[in-house]
Amino acid sequence: MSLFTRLASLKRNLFRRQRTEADLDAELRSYADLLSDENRAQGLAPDKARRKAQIDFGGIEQVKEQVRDVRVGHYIEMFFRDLRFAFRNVRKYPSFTTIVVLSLALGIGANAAIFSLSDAILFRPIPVPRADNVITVDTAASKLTRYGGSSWLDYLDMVARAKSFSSLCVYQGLSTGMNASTTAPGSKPQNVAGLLVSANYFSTFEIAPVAGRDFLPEEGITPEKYPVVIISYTLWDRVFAKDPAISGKGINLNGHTFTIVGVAPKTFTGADIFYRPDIYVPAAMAAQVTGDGADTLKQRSYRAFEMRGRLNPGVTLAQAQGELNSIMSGLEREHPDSNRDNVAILRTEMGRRMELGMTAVPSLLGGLVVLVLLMACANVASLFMARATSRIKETSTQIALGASRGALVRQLLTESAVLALFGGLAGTALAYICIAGFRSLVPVLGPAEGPDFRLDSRTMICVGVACVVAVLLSGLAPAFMAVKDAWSAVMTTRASASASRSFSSVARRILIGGQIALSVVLLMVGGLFLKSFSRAHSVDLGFNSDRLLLVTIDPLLQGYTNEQAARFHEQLVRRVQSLPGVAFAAVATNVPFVSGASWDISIDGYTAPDGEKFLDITNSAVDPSYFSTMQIPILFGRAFAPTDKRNAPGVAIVNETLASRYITAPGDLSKALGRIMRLRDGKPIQIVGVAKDSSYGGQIGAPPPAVFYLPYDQQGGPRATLVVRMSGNENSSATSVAPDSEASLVVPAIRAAMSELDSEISPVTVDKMTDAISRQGLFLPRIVAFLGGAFGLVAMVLATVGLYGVVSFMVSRRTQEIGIRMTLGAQRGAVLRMVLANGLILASTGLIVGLVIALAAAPTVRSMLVGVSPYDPATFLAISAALLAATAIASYFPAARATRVDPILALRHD
Amino acid sequence: MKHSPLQIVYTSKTQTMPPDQTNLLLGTLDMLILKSLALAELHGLGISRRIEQISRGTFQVKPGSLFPALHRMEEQGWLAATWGESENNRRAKYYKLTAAGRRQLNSETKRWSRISLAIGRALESN
Repeated sequence: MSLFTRLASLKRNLFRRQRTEADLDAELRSYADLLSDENRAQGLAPDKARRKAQIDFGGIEQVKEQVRDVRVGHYIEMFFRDLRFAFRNVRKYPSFTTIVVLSLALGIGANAAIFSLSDAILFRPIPVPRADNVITVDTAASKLTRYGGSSWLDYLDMVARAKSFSSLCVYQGLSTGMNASTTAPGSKPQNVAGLLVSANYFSTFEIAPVAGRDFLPEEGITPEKYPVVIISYTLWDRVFAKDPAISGKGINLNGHTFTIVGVAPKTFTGADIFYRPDIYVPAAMAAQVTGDGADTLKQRSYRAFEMRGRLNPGVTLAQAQGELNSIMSGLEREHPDSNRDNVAILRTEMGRRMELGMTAVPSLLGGLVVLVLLMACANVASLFMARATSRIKETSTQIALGASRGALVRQLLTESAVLALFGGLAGTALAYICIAGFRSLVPVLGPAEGPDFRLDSRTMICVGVACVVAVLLSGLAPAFMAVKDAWSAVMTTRASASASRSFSSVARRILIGGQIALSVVLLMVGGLFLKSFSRAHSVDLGFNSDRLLLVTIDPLLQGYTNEQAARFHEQLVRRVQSLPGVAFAAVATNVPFVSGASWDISIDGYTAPDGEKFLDITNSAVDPSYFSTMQIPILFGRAFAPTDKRNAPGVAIVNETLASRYITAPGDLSKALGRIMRLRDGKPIQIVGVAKDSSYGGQIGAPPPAVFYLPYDQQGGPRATLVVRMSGNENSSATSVAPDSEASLVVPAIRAAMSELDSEISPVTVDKMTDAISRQGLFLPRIVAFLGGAFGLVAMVLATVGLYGVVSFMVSRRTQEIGIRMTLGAQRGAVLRMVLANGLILASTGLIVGLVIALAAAPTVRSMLVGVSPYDPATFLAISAALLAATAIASYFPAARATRVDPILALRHD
Repeated sequence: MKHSPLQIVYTSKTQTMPPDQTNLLLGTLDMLILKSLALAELHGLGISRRIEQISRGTFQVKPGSLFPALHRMEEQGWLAATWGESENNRRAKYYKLTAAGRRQLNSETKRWSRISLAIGRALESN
């Protein structure tokens, strides 16, 4: 039959139902009339004729029902009937609905929020077509690391020699961003995220500009000849109001004029999930937008470009890796100085992320939220079972009236689905709040940097999946059990007796026991992380973080050269030191919890067991007052002195870990003094001091890394952080000035000092060290502790509500029995104890099972804990006590109700 | 030989009926209805009387089978219905074959004669 007639019937049946019904009624009546006419014609009296016709016809209503059953859209109609019934029940039992919806909302919302978190830091593909076949190419000095940028010259050679790739491009994020202003007069400069790219960047990712054009090949090659840029969609929207005639418009970047040639599509936010550029600049223009432009393009050892590519059809990753291996060893032979031991590592984008080791937090939290969802489902399932028992008479009446099993199960499942839908909506709202929370917890690294948390279609799919899981897990079994119980109730006529010992009441006890066990596990994890988080606050960082202000400045944005910048910093430090309220001031390229860098060094006399001479070591270039400002003690030797100038002999200070791990025995650190270390350029640098270990960012409480310091004058760059220790209680009594109000006095003074030197320069960021630690160093511990604690509490609440439900249900089932006991002289206390014991036995069984699971699972979280053993007895005791208390309360109320049973009423019960 | 009429009970999926009545092969009722309407348009009772007549009293179609079948076939586009006057001046709903219904009758007739031939042969074989 044609689809069209079917659709026409569907429309008629669903939307002109009354007319169809009236029509059917008239047709059947006319049939009956004709039949009675016939009977009359055969000689029957009119009333007998009609009666015989009616008997022959059968019931008009039954026939109508049979006609309705064959109609197109019959199932849709049934569905709407079930839906109406479900909504009626939703309104009829508001407290039941609330508990179910809240349980599901917690389960679904937690899953959506954690999915969105994991998606933002791990799973979300980069926003380009065929993202799964984008290949990443890292270059690294062998064995030290599997990550590393490539240099421009190596890149050009690889492009010329490699046959495996259909396209190979590089890009480099400009981490301080750029100062951009339109060429219109009076346009205020704003900081934008920049990306330096090869000209084939967009074509490699198969991205076409939405306005204007892509870069031309020559624009990416010829240095400083084509000042062109492509801008992001958001910048086009924000600054240019989506001007359709954007091509050819000018834009100022760090004081240089560029021409806009194109606009990237709205969906494309760069090929990196943690960096969303506003402006794409061809690499050939590096000199205008980075400080060391010449190095960027001319030095083989200046490896700052990320490389991405796509393979030719039919080429495998292993083949391409083989080809790159031979190209890299060729480059090593041709350029032994810069390319010694350099290898290329090919991976898929996703494979690289997995290797980066970002999987721990998503998988831990993911496991926890799945447990929360399971618990919510178990709770809802047990609530459904309880209600099914209370509705058993209603259901058996339906069966007696001819409702089929299938129809009843469908009706109950529709009800679960409606509740899950509400749960999903509430869960989405919850997820939205959580995601907003993640955004505020995330460290602000710079423009458009960091994970992008959002409630997008992927998260909504996760909500949908969670809803379906919830319906199936929480609705299916109770629906079947309800119908089964009701069937047996039909047979035995006594509703309560049949259900009391039924399978579903055993199932409920198992569900609740399991919930308590799961909640123990969740509480343990949450408790351990909360404790670890509070320990992390008091961990000794190796420097004094109180009253430290961090002002990051980048004179490069004003077009300064390295020398000009160094002079600027020197003058600035001198001025700031003399400001009132400032005790010390220093400048450093990298400050813990603000920025970090690691360089390859070799130490004369040290070779790793595998023959490797170079080490990849965290470092910073700092001025002479840095150690006194940070209050990092120099254990041996000296701090840097003003005499460690650019042309003076190279000197370095190493920390305890570096000295003891690579140079000398831990007990004899002074022997490190005088030893020689070298950067990749091979020039000797003498170690003149050993500093006390101090945290260098990263996870709080983890052992400090090996660190070396170089004099700012010798190795500093233009972008630097001014570290200021406010004097605070030195001038006044110890209690007088809070750091916050103190900072509000000092910061404007620093800004003023800065603009006295150059009115154009303003800080990139101003921060208190304690805030930076809290954001950067405690970001993941805080999220994990917060979520772990929240999940644990949610789990406990769910389990307690579930237990309450089970015990109250039991009391109501046994009202008659209790009545008899009390008639026969049982004391109220005995009844109370009996019911309480019933709840507590269930709770303790769950508790013991949960403790066993928690002990078995404890080692998996060890690496994420700071200063707390995963078997921490205090936490275990506290959790057990809290859980027992909660379950005791949950059992007490129904037990107390049981003691108030009126024996006479109870005997009449049912 | 005198035999009692077979009652046609067309069972729909959701309908529960005592199983003691003869169920015709699925589709047989459709074919009989199409056949009964081949010559002229008829109302419900007319169709059921016409089927009795052409099957020489073998098949009696009850309203509980007839009307679901008529409505289903109308939705399938084989029948078209209009309200009209009966011979004794009662309003009645008349059904007639559509072009699709006529095609369906043709193919059903061919199919049925193939099947009955085959079954006849099968039963007569030794």
